[in-house]
Amino acid sequence: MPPSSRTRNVTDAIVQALGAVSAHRLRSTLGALAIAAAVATIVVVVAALDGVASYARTTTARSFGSDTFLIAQVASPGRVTRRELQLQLQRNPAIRRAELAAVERLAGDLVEYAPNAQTTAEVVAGGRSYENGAVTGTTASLADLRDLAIVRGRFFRPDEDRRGAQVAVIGADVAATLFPAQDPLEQFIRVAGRRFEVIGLQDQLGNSGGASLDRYVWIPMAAYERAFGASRSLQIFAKTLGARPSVDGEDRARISFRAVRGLAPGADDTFDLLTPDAARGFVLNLSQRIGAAAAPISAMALLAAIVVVTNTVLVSVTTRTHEIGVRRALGATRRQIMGEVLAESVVVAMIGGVAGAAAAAGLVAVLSSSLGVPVAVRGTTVALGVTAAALSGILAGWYPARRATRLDVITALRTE
Amino acid sequence: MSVTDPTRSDVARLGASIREAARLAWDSLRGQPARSGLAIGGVVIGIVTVVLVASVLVGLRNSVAQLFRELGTDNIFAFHRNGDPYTPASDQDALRRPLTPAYAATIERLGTSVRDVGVQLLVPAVTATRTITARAGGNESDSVLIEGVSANFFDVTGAEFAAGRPFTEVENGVVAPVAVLGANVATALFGPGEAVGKPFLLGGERYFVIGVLAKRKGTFFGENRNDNVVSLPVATARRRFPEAVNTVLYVRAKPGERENARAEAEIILRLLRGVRDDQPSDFQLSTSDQIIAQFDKLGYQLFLATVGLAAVSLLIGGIGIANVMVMSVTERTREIGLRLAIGARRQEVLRQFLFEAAMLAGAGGIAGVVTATLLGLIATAVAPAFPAVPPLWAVLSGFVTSVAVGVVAGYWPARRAAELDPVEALRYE
Repeated sequence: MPPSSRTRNVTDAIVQALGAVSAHRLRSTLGALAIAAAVATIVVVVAALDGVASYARTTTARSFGSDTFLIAQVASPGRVTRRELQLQLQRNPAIRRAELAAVERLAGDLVEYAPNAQTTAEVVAGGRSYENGAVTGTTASLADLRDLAIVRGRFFRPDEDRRGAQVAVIGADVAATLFPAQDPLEQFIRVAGRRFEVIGLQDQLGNSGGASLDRYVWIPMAAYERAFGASRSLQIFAKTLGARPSVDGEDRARISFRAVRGLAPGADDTFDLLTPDAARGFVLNLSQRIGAAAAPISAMALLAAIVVVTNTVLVSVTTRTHEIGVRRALGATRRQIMGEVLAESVVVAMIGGVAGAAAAAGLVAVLSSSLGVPVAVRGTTVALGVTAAALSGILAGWYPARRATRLDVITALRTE
Repeated sequence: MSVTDPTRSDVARLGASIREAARLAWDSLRGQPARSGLAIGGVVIGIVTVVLVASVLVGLRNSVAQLFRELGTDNIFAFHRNGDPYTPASDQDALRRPLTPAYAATIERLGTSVRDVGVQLLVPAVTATRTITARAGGNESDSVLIEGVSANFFDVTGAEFAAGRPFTEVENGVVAPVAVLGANVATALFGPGEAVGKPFLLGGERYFVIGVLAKRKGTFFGENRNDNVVSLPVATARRRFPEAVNTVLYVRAKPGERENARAEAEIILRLLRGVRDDQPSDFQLSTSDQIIAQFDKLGYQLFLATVGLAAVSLLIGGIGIANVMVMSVTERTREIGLRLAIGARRQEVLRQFLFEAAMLAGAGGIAGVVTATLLGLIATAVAPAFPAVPPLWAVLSGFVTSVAVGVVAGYWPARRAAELDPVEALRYE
């Protein structure tokens, strides 16, 4: 068959299909409605999963910084088995301050580091007490590495770092508990019996992975060591400087650490390097599990919708038995008839698919603005929904189309 | 129609007209097997989805509830932190002092509604310096939960023994190296054979198995950590693992006096720990009911969301019914006109089509419920962690829902049929 004639056949089939669809508007609408409900479900589920993923991204960015990475004795996203933890602890020695100093000398202008040592301690001010302060010793450079969301005041300066000034930046919960009625700035708090002046306040940050981000008390590393002694092992946040891709910085950090520890080529790292991708992966994995449960349920909806469209098209074929007989008698091929029936099925399904995707996008937009959750339906999700609808149309049309092509011409002509 | 006894003749009339409607509906369905079958198929898919999803969720919930009931429904659990003793301290209570096993005797002595108090000392199996594993012969298990428990602990928690016996007070007193193993540990170390009387190594030291617990019925996604316990007498555990501090007290109330016992335990613990009157308690008391209620509160929304998602399939099944009914009405426009012209009531026409819709959906409901039950039985046989056998209420409500879906979906086409103008309808080609 020459291509022009094939094109005409396809066009003919679609025109025929549109005619059939508009002639039986009610029937076709119900078929399309079924597909629309199924496609809308799929689109909403995918958008919800996207929402979980973007939530994961924003919270890890808050607790981690979006292009920061972490070097620690043991750092794994999610849970590790006891055996793994044990092996990691055996392999990786504690990270000491001297090592950090050596690594910093090798950083060049590629990486910036900020050490982290943390303990849970009671924080008091006036007669009030905050039991669960996450007291963290760090350096001024942390403010470059992470968005600490300081709403008032400032983070500590390098000179305060060097002399270990008794200054603190406090989280929103700490501030609210200790200073319910007054301005916390320039007030004094006590941590481990020592006085710290509050120089900065953090914004309300909420939770990340179930842990509150608002209970922090940030103090200079030297002040931390005076209060709690030297930490057994440091955690080190690091960030690639400049506009180069972050891989450069990770490589430099890894190479520097290996050099400082004198690791032979080919030997395993004796420290863990955790990138935000890996941390995020853990939460994404969670959303994939939710998806794994939601997918078969949505698939059942689509299956039910396919059955409804099959029925719609089947009735269309049955009522046109006589017409099909006449057309076959006048020379229409089986292939043409098949094409027409399939086209009708696909047209019904596509109308439903587009309508369902549009309705879902609208619903998601309304919900996301009224609930204040930033979720949007992606173009690829809509494409997925409409493709699913088109495939459903083909599947749904298959059985009626075969019935139509197998009609005996003589019997069909005799049908009223 | 008799004036003296209107009820009876009305009932008779109604009965006759219902039978007539049912017969007409049946004829119509039989006349269109392919179409009716597909409409039923849509409902079947919907019902199967809803019933299966609901029964999996309910099954999971029940086995979780069973897990907590196994700890004793008359018991009050006391721990110094909120939440699960096995998970690390949360932000809120990391600084609280643990309870100590010595509290048990005081609560038992002073609490008039308290029957007895079991002690469970949790031994951390992983620390920064080592991991404790259990081994016997060539077998090793590194997933054991080590605990030191009082002699009455197994009685307080109603633990069932598959073999052997619990500890005695004497064994606790002499710091005997004996252990009771959870079902999984026993299998991991000794295989299917007899474990009682045999020695094993725990953290490099030798203990003798004197009892093996029966496998627990409640699970959390197929897991019950009580199957992984190695229980030692509490004195033995304290001697061998001095780093163990986290203690859970199981306060068993006298029958029917749980709330009193709870109040007493709270007062006694506050006194023992020197909590000032104006301060909140620095420990947590909970009961299995409470834990289950908390779990239900979390699970409820998830349940609604998931069943709601599944219900979309049923909605689509309903659309399928409506679709078939629209076609049925359209095809029989002339017949309806004729029936109306020779005196059929609009009510009867409406009923006829509603019956047809309800029969379609009801057939789908029965087929769906049967399919869901079969699938559930197969799923449960394949994966016992996900009990999916539909409970009776799910079967009944599945069927009722499907009929309701049919009636709702069929109402609009049926109304269209009943409101046809007979003259126009007779003219319809």
